[in-house]
Amino acid sequence: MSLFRRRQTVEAARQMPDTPPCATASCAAECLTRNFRPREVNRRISETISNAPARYAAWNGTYGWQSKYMLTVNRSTCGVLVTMRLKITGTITDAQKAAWKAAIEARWNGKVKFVCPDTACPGACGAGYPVRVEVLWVTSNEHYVITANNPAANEGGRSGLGGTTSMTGWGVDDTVDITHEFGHMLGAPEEYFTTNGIDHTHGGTRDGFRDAGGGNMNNPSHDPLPPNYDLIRQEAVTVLGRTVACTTQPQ
Amino acid sequence: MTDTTEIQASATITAPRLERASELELHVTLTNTGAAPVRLNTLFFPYAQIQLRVVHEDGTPTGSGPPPLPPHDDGQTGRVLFAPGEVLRLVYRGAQYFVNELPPGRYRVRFRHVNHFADDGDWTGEVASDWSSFEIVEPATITGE
Repeated sequence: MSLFRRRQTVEAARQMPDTPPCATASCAAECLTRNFRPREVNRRISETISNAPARYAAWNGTYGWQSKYMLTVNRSTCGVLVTMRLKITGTITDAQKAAWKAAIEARWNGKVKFVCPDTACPGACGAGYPVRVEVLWVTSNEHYVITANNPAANEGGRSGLGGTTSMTGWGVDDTVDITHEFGHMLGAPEEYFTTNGIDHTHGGTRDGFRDAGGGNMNNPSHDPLPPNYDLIRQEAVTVLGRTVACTTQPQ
Repeated sequence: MTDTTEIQASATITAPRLERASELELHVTLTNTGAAPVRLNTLFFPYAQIQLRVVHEDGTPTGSGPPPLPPHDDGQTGRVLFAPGEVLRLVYRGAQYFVNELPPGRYRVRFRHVNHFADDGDWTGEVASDWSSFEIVEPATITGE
């Protein structure tokens, strides 16, 4: 391709920021179609819960965990993909596994995009990078081991409501609370009671958890909020490079 | 053992030398040592992050994963009438508490139940087991046990 022709195609891509640059036949500069090397994220997360109501005082404390997943950023398709490799221990049916995966992906996919202007590559994915998560069931090289909790096999009532007892202990028939636990894997902290100094009771006007107006990290029956993707956004910036700044926007 | 007027807790570890923290198994026994039945709130007993504390040998917390989203407490669900002399047995596994495996070293774990909310008529107070020690060892160093 001649230099003149290349400039033409790059300019054409800049004029069509809502179109993935390689959606057209003529693909321009390499930066416009670059697929970045997948990044294995392993990041320490910490949160402090305080001011829990008296019934829930046991929740007060500081908690920590590692947020782990593989992040892929593609400019050829203008997308951000979070791949979570999960290994299951315990008894679970294929249908229950499929329900877990469907619930998580439906809850977290198609909600936000990252808009990431790149001063070194104007026009690259100008309409943004929709964020998608994908759950993969694996038997090795997992990010997390999930214990399948079967409520029917509880020990002294110890299976918990819905069977989900923690970030990695999931009730086999639960398709609600597990989407919240998955959010922790993505690095999202709680949004209930007072977490990290933020009062989610809004001055005592709400219960502070499982509220009607809460996002997924407050009420797992609801979708995540854009800030719940913050750590993914930060990691995407790391992948894209120092010439990029990303904002999270509803999709 | 933290002695209360009515409930006592004890805990034992099945295998105190482990290669993986997720394999930890803690057996907890609660006993009503009082003369009268008590109404015990067991609603949160399934949640290892809420009921257990794990520390390094020097007492610094190891940290658990995030706590579970609390269930709605209607003041009825999870309540048991705990008769005098009755024993309640609980089993916690490391996989319920730890999101990440612990590095080799010596640790301690204990069960603790605290309730200061009296409005529902539940037993109030604090009961905790003694600390139980365990050790995480390098893989393949456990033989013949």
